Amino acid sequence: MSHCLRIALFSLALSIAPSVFGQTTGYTFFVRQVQMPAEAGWDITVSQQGSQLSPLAINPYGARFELWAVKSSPLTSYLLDTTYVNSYVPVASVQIQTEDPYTLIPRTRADRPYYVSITVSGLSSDPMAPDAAKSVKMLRHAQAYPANGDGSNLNRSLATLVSQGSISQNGFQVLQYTVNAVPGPDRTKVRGEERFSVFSLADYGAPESQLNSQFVQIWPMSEASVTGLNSSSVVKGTAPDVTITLTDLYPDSVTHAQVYPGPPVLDTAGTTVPGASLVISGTVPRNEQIFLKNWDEAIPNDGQWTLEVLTTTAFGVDRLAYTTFTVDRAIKVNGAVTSAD
Amino acid sequence: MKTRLGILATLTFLTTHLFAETAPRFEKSTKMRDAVTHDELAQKLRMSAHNDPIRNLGPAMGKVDEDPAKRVTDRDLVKESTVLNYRGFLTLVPKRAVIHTPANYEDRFKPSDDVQVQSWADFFKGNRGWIRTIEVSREQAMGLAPMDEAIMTALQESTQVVVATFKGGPISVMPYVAPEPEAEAGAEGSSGAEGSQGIKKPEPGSQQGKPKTDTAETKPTSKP
Repeated sequence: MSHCLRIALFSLALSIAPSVFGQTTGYTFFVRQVQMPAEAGWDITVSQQGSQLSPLAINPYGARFELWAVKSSPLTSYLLDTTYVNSYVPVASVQIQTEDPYTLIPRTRADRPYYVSITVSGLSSDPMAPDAAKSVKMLRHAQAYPANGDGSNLNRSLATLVSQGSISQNGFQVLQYTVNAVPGPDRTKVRGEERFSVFSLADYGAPESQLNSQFVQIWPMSEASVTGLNSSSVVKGTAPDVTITLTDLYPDSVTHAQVYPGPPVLDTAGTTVPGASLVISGTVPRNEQIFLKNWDEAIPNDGQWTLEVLTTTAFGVDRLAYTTFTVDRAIKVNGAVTSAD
Repeated sequence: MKTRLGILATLTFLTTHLFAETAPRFEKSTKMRDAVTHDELAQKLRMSAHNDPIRNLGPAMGKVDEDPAKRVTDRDLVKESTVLNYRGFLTLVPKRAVIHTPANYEDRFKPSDDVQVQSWADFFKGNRGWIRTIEVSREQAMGLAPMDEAIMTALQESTQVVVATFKGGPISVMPYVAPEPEAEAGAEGSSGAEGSQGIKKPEPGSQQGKPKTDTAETKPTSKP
């Protein structure tokens, strides 16, 4: 009787390609079936969409299916996805939820929590079954990006293995992380990614193989500094020119400066300073500057005022910086009147 | 092994369905807040390091001293393939898929930039003049059955590069390893219970199915 383990090959090429491969021009996709343990390879011809059975029966050791994208200039290959198949290999799925609704790559900010949802099926409850049939391994990796890096051309083999554990029960579970573990001296400024992966255990000639994996990008917290205005400033005539320097503005955020009379009180709705609003789109944090010029009409009355810099992101509204200042436009004439007498 | 298994590996679609189970939702804060500080985050990190949910899943099993992810992240299809490169076009085939290379074509196996990468089917279509294929069986590819000696002898004389294919796709041809007499007898004794293709799930440590490079009948004449 033929050992005729077959797999339905999904010609997933373009359906699962990450965002960077969304535009397929310049990339050629390869699906390779690697028979274990000798790692004999077979390149499968597939159409762009649909599914088919692999006619190459799987060895008793199992087989790995790999989806690659290859581009020239320079000749580079990207492993987009891989699945290991064997008689009793469990199926696992990893998904990361953050507060950011961005759909292409899970992403969040250095101070924000996230959830990791894992679903495992196909684990055997037979105590006599091999370990590889009864349990899978869960790994957590963290890796910092270089300064201003966005994760491209990152050597992910250098990621730090933060923790590992085993799952031996089928089902759905959620791991909650209050904060990331991306390395960095300033926790507000870490920039990198965390990856959660499920691996099968080694079995006969088959090594531990990745069943599923997902990563979340961690971006640094935004920062603002105000120059040209401080708590000792007294605005007597026209308002001074003020520069607001902003660093690491979160993708898809809106940042603005507002003023209101009185001392700083969190959650106060003030008046947006004309021309002091900035919309950030894109996929990576940005550095920007806001220049306040001719903004007298925003501070019409004498007294103490507060200038705040606020950023609105998927996580809510954060106050990045504030300063108080005084407006005193009343003209006081100190003089004496004398008569000729 | 009599079981005939059908496994549907959906890779993508499955993920979607599996997560029909509800994941937790975040409550969006509507209140303005000040940015948290490094000290606050460092404290949180210390706390979470002591209470990492992954560790609560259960002790890691298997090879805990090795990081299996390094094998996945450090991969390069170009290095794991034989490159066929000619007149501005390039394709990749699995190692050991090229089973004969005439000496005058050896310069066509070097990678280069500024070329257009093609699928095997497209590349072969445009290069039939110097490439020919030979269909092999699964058993021959896995080193479980020998290649026909007469065909192999004829191929050595070929003036074309010869690529082994299975159902039209390039495939590695592992060196044939003749079964040991005892194993053969055992297989007969089991009335073919392990399958008509003679595949038997080997014991751990067994060499069956593993490549032997020295005595291969299908050893490529050249290893580009």
